[in-house]
Amino acid sequence: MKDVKFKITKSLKNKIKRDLERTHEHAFERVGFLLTRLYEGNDQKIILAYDYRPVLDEDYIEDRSVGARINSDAIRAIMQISLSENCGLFHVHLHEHSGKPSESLSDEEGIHPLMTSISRLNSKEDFGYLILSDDSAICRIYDEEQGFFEADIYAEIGYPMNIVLADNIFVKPNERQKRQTFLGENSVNVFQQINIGIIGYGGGGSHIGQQLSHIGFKNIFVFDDDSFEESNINRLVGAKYSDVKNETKKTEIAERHIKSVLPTANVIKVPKRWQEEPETLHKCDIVIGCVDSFIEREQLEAEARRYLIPLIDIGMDIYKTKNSYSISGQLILSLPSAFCMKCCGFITETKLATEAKKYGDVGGNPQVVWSNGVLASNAVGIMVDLLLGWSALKDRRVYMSYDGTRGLLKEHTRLLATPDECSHYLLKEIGPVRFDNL
Amino acid sequence: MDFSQAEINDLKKVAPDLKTVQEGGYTYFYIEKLQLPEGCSPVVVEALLCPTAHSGYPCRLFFSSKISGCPQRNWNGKLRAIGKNWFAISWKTKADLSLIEMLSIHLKALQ
Repeated sequence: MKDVKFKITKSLKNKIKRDLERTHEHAFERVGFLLTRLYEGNDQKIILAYDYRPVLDEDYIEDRSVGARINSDAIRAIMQISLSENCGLFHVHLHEHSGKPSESLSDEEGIHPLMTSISRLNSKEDFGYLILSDDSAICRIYDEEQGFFEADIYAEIGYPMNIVLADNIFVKPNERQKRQTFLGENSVNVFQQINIGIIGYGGGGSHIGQQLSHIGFKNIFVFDDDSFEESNINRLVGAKYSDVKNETKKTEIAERHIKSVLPTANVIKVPKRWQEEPETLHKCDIVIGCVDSFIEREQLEAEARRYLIPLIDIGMDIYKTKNSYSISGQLILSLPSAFCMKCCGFITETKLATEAKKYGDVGGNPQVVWSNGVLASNAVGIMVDLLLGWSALKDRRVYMSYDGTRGLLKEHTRLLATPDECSHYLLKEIGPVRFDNL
Repeated sequence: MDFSQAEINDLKKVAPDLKTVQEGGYTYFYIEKLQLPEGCSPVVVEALLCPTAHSGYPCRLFFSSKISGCPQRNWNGKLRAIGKNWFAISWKTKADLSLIEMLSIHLKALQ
């Protein structure tokens, strides 16, 4: 049985909620349909929501026995959309209370046969339904053999994320968790079930791996195609001097170090560029990018956006100034549907062109452990808040500039001129690529 | 970026199965079966034309595999776009070319 995730951006979910909260002349509640795309890997399915269609006012049938009953015009219209867009469909409605919703008997009697019938439209997409509550959701997917089953993970992508786990067993905080109970009672479950990707296990990535293991994240995916060299020992935490002689793969160092702190961790090692094994990247629920170049950042962000994976990018450089040196860096949260690294001016064609001119001559940039550590620590802090929302900060936009010379990390001034929504990566482009005929 | 229908029609003469796709602010033209110049191996490849500035070049043609049987070029095989891995040569063109000119200039580099 494949793991199934259902992902939706918070901005789309909020749009749906606003629509469903409107009163209707005679219906007690409103319904609509989510348009989705399915990505199917070897052992996982990801259902990605990209658009929403409300049911028109005139398509509700007056029936006092149920919350809402829709007519055949509404069903025909949404089936036509599924056919023309080649997409999956999820019936969606709202239960106005807090906590995880459950289906009422009339939900089951009305929605199950409707979505079972609609699912015959397209065997390559998934169909089902979503019930939203004030702060949670339940998502069920139709399968011919199993009937309707719950998605293993329902994730709303925003700041903070809203993660609803099917297998939400209350785990009593252990000794490891005692000093971080403020993260919430759901945190232990999240640490057990969420997949975190680290792209590049060097000065930044090794600090990230170390901290994730201390916090208790169980599933850590490490991507790096390099072996350890003596020039890495100034900053790669967890490395031993013997790794120089042994030319140890950095992913091996990652596993050894993470497991020394958290022996039960699943360290998924990808000793290649992530592009050579992208299906493993797609399993990650959050990715922390510790890559060296703008072109690598651009490629990673494009892939992350395609699968609605939040990306936290960190990086630093040391520049020679007139009389001395200067350390600077950045920490950017690239959240699908919110601003991207192009929107905020961090990645530009000019920078890509300058970098391309230096192609083949980019190695050996100065790096230091203390600056790597500052950026990595803050990236982990933001990632934990993004996942668990412990700070109660909402819709936070993160583009920090790091002045490593003075030891300052502050909001980048460019953020003032950065739009909230991304104009480069559009929701309609998510999922496996689709072409438009000319 | 908008291109005239006449320009697109010219490109379709070479690539009748022409499609477009967007990602990251780029509009790409996707050619499922691009015939390469004589001597190239493979003879037919998937190709992706980015007609605007991309990764430091005024326009770029991406191939689904590295091409042999052509003059030695500076290949970059570490490129990913639209969820696929691509190969491209380091080949600068002038700006303001038509779509068919962009394609032709890149193909000439393989002759």
